[in-house]
Amino acid sequence: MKDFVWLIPTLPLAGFLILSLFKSFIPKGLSGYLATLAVVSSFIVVLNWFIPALRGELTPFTWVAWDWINLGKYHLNFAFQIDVLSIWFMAIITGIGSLIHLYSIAYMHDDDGITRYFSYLNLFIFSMLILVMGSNFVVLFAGWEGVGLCSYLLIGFWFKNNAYNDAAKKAFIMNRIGDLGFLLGMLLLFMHVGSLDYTTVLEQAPQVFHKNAGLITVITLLLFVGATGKSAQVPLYTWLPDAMAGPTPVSALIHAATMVTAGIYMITRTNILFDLAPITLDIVYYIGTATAILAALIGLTQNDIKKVLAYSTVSQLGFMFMALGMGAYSIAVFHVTTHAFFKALLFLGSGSVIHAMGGEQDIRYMGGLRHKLPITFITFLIGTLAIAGIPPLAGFFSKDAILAVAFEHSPIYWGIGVFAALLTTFYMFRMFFLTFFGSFRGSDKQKEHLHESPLLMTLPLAVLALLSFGGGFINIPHVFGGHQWFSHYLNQKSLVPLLGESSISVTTEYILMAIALILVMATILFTYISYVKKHNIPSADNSESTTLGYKLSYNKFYIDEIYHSIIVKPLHIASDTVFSFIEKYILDGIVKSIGLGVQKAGSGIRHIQSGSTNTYALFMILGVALVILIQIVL
Amino acid sequence: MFNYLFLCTLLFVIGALGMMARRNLLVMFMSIELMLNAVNLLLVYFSSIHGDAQGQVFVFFVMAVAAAEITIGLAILVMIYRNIKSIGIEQLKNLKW
Amino acid sequence: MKAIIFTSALGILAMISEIIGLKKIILPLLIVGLLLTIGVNIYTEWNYTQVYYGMMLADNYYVAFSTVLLSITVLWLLLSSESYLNEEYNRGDHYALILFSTVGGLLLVSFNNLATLFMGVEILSIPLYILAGSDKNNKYSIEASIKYFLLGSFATGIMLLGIALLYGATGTFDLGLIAQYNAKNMDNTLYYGGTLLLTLSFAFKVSAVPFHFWAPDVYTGAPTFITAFMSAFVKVAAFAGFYHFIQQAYLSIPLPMENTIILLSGATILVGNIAAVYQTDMKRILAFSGIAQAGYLLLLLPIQGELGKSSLLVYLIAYGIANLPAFYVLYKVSRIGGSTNLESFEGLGKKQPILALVLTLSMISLAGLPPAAGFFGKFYLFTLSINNGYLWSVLIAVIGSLISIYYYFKVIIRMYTSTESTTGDSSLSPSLQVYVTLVVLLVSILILGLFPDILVSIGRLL
Repeated sequence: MKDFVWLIPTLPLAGFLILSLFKSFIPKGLSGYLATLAVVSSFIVVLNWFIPALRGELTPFTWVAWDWINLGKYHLNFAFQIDVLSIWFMAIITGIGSLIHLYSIAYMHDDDGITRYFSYLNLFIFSMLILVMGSNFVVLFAGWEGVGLCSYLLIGFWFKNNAYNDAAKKAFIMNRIGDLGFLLGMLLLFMHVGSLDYTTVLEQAPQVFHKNAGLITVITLLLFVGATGKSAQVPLYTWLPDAMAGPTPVSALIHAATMVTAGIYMITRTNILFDLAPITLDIVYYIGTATAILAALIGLTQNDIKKVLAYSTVSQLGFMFMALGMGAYSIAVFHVTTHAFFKALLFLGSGSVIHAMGGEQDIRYMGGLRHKLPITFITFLIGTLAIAGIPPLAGFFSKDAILAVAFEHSPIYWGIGVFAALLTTFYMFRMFFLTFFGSFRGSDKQKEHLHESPLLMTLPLAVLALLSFGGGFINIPHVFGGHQWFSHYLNQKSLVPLLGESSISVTTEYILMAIALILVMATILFTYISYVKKHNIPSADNSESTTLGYKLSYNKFYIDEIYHSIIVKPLHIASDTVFSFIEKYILDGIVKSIGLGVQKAGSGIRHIQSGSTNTYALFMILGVALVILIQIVL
Repeated sequence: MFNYLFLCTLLFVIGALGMMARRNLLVMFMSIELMLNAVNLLLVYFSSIHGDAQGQVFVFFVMAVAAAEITIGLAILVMIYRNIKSIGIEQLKNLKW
Repeated sequence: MKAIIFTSALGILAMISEIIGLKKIILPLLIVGLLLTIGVNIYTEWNYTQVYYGMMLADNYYVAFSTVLLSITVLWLLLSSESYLNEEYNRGDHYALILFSTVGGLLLVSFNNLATLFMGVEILSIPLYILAGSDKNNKYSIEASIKYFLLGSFATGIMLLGIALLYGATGTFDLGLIAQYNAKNMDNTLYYGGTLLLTLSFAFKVSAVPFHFWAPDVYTGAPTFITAFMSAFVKVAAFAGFYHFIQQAYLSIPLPMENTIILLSGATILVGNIAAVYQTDMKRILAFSGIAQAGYLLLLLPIQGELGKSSLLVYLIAYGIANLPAFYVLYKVSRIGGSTNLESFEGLGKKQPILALVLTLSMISLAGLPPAAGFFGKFYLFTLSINNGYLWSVLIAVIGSLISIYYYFKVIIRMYTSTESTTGDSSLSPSLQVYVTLVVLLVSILILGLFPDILVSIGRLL
């Protein structure tokens, strides 16, 4: 049985090779099915271990492909590690990957480069599988760079303008900063432990490093910098919203469901190291919180349907890092799972909307789509309810689990979490109402073109909707009579630590839940009133129209205006500030200045290269003199 | 000992300075020759100090190679003159940055 | 020794091929001859260390690196055959010069006497001065030629001065005797001066900063395949020779030399990588990338012992087999697009997927990303250097290699993104022997990336 492990990554790889090598021989219609077949068969192989794992019968094993590096006492295998954690991620990657492949067949059907598109998509699945299956940091790094490359290729798939170039450059620099941290962390670990195998590193770490010592803090911080780059955390997050320039299914697969969770996977995998460095964990928590709030604030005023989803992804990733920072690794993975379900659903749904609108992405020109796109509407509703955390949908359980842990740490942590959740609810429902309710605001041509998407697209939507609906039941907390099945699942062989028994009483937990729930419902109601009842459509200039809209409205709820000035306006201002100041100037500024600095230095060096042979000879002699001088001084 | 070393170093430095300062290719070739010959002188000197003939044999190596090298150099020079009708190095600055 | 004699004979054969009417079959003849040479060389010299008259040392190190160098020449002959079939240049003369240069490279990995070192360096370089200018009517080519010649001779002068000082200190040119002297007398100004100057003249050959100025200009100006040879063959020969010199002439690396090398390495990595970011011409990007690679390689030189040798072998082979195909693609693109600007690469992924794949993989390998061979070159290098205590150098090297990903990926992205949908261009497709060579190179990049132990286990025997 174990000997078939290699099939899992090899199948998508074969798909990639076939599609890219025999590009001209494969009919366009067929390439999508071939690619899908590759991923689906990989998923079936994964099930082989996934089902026993669900039953708790999986014996973890390492499958050594070959002896990779043999350097004296240092030794490393190219090996795959199959345990409950990696099999869980593999199931998500291949499962959701299959659905998105299927969806892409219809979505990309009239694109010229469809074969190329599917070959990249298969290559991505392959790299991502390598990332999670590897049994050491080096294999992880191989996948890490692989997914990065695929992400660039796919962002650039519809490359037409310079804006893309900038986006790619930004993504590039940010990911390199992340890689720098990761590589250095890896090298330091190697230096002190003498191995990069997870098993060895994690076993020896407690002996080699003292808890809370400087060294382990530095190493974990460096690893965390790597995670920050890949998982789009403050301050390295601004590339993710820009990366939405690629085709929508790509955003769903790479920039929402799988690749961006690589950082969370890595930290969960090495949780023993992070537990040794409480300072790092605190920093992880603060960065996660900052990301969750900042991204949610920006999301409030975005009008591009994909941008809203992009910022919500960043914000949800922030939630996951909050959980990691509090040491609740299993909860973070739980949220990764539910988020993969509902975010993939939302992205694919938005793709369906964009498809129907003929490429329009601005929610100000949509509206009333619920009659024309009923299936998309229902599935989108489920996704939105799930992300808002309405019971019993998936998002409720995972978000509530994070909030419960937060309350245990401090009520303030809980409050911040709830605040971020409310912001999420607000902008998600704002988008939802603007898109599906009210009257249609696009051109007549678009109106005629409106149609429900074909079965190939709605089927994945339906499946994902089901998962978003029921996905949360895997980890029902004790309060609801559940046994936190998922946390126990991950705790097999104490791979991921189980959280201690909750210290808060059942009553408190009920009250907290109720408060959060009531606030969320109130927010939804508020959104409904402002965007559906009052047709409060944001125009190009946001603030003015809102005021105007309120003045014109015949229902004079003064309470609305109080709301408006106390809550909406400050939030708007906050959102604008964050977006225009912090993101545009500070974060992008830093990235730009790094790029510019390198370029300036490059141009300086360029001018030394003057073309004159005499100058070259001069520099050579100066070099000789300098070296001799340094020797004398030393 | 010091005088000899000083003389050779001086010759070598003059050659090197010629490489840096002169613009005429022929003069630059001469500077290179000067550098090589400074080294030859040094080798002969060390050879007699050590009472060992190897150094002097090495001088023959250097001379033979320098002759071959300068032949190539002059051939390139002719080619340059055919192309740009000049043997000034300042006109050969197209490859830069 | 046999390899040197055979290669020289093949060179002479190539030179007179036109006279004796072998022009048509000279290429297969040379390739078969070189392959035979490789075989005979391995068969007779492997595990049979011999010193030829005190001038040359034929140990396993020599066998391994002469095999690498001869293989690079064979691959070069195969890849460049298209250019010569188009009768762009005089074939016989070029092949002869390339083979003589190869002889110089072989001398560089086997010298046991400073005289042989000097001869090796000169025999390696002089044919290249001519070849760089072989595009006689192109002003860039002759400029490259004269620059290479002037600065190369200048470096020769520095090297000779170093040799003379070493001779003055030790009274011998024999590396073995110098090594014995080194053990006894640690403080001698002449000795230190000679060591430093020799180190710096090697630094010129490997194009380390600040002796790198010739490299970008010469690489850009010279005909593409000559650049390919310089960048792959000369760099491998120079580094193998440098390492050989340190290993034979010093029992342990002297401190001033080590400091100098580490210093140069940092400067080279930074300058090479940062300057490459700014370039828009692919040939110049590869030239600066070659400089940056030299910077990483310098870090390996102070590391003696079997691990150092094996990682040098891994890195140099990975570098060579990534560079040659990259230059081939460059040549193809420049023939069609007329230039080697980055724009010429746009849409290559659609026009010529094979060429694009070749370039992609070689860029990935040069950038040092898994699963290409280059990754292990870097991996061994970084871990060994860290163990040797060069923490800061490794930090610079890691930053440098991250910057390098930018310009390597720039080409990849260009190739796979384009606005217009062009159909396949048949004039770009490679001929059969080139095709096979490219596939062999691609597969070896991957195989060495997946099974680097093949080379490491050979490296242990050196």
